[in-house]
Amino acid sequence: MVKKEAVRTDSTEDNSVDNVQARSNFIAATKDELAKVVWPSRQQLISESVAVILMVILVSTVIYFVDQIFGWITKQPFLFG
Amino acid sequence: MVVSRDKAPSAQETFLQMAQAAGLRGRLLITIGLLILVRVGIFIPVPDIDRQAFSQAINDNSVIGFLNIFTGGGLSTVGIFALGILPYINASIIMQLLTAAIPALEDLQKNEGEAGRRKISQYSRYIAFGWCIIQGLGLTVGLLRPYANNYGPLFIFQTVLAITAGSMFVMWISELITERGIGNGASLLIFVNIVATLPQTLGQTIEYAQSGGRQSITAVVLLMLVFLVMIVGIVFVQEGTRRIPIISARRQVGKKLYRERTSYLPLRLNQGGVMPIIFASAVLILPSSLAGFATGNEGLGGFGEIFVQISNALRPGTWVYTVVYSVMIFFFSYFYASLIVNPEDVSKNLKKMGSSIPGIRPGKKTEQYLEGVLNRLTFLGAIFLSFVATLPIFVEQATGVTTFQGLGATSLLILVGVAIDTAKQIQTYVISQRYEGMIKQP
Repeated sequence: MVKKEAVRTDSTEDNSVDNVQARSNFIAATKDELAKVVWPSRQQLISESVAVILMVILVSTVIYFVDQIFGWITKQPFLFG
Repeated sequence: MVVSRDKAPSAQETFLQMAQAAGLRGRLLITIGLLILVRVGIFIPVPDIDRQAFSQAINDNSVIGFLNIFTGGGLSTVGIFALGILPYINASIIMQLLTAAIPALEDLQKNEGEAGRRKISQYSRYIAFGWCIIQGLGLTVGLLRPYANNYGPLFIFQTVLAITAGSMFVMWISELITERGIGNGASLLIFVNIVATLPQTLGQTIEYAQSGGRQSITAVVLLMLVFLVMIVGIVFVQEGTRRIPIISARRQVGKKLYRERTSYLPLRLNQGGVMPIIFASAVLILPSSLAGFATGNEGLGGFGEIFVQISNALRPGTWVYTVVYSVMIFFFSYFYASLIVNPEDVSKNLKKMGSSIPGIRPGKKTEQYLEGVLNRLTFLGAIFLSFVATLPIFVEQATGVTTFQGLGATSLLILVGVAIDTAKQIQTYVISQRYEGMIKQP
């Protein structure tokens, strides 16, 4: 029986090849994952963006007037000498 | 008003129905009332401090300016709510980390049900109280000392007492909002604090546009457009989900045969929400605060110079800052995703319920599959967060408009996240009321 000589490969070279392959696999898998993501519809996107902007405008307006009132009160000498 | 029953109401429908639903109206009024009450505390001053001088000094400090946004200006006015909800949020983060690290706490959260969660909330409050005293002392001794009229042990005691009491009151209000109002109390308080600085910032921006020529007006319009696009972009990514199909096994209960059902396990693209950006910002603020401490301290010798050099290298706008910021966001994205979704737990729960992912064996294989999906989603989410976090820096450099400097990506993400969550809660309430109405109809 002929004994086959084991072919030695440089382990560092192997690792670097594996790393490159793993990296490209990860990027490919990430691309696939991105394709599977369910994105919001245009109507939902517009609706929620409007909700955000409306809420920010409403709250900032209310808080602005509240702050103005409280700011004026704290400046009154008969309250805070 | 005709509302289609087959889909969720739009934002406009929700806002119109808010006025009609009686229960919702009550909750809304409670929320608004409590939020206004929190604003009052910002104007109640801590005694014995030269507030004008302190406010002036704060404007020149970017670190404190950043914190000042999250306290809604409470820090610059040195009100009794100077710390606001920050200690409670810090305590919640600490508690989350401890729960992941200490098995006893993890067991309390997972296996003890509502009682366990209540206990963890109680621990969070205790941590918040302790953290409040520490931050109050830091604020009093570190920042307010030069502006105190009569600095001494009594001043330290009364200031820490006032700030701690104020912060505990804010914490209580946040819990009241969560229970009896609309939305998450802590999130809404931060939302209001950020929004409170908007009118002033907007005023400064308009002033800048008026003082300059056509070029500055173009720059401001461009900046506004970028912010608008960013809002839409954030909404788009925040709502993006990866639905993993789950098949529930066929079951027989008595004589009834339940056929297999298909449902979904929704995984968000951005699991950690705004947390990775907040953590990354906090880490990047550290060198500049150390540099500030080092410049006033002669005993540090060469270390002081090192801190100053690091601080200069990590100035917002530099490429080093951008790279380090992005790396930090990536790190904290993965860190936070691992805290929020545990593939091992999900796999165990699926096995318990007799459910499985098509083509994946239950148990270890499911865990590995979920881990892989989560890793890839977190990577995508981190890319998005890095882009969102660094875009305003480049736009500000390009346009030269720096009035929105404090209101960066962190603030925008919080604003969008909280607004969407609150709107969804309102929508849920509106839908549930609509179905109640359908049931009550003869």
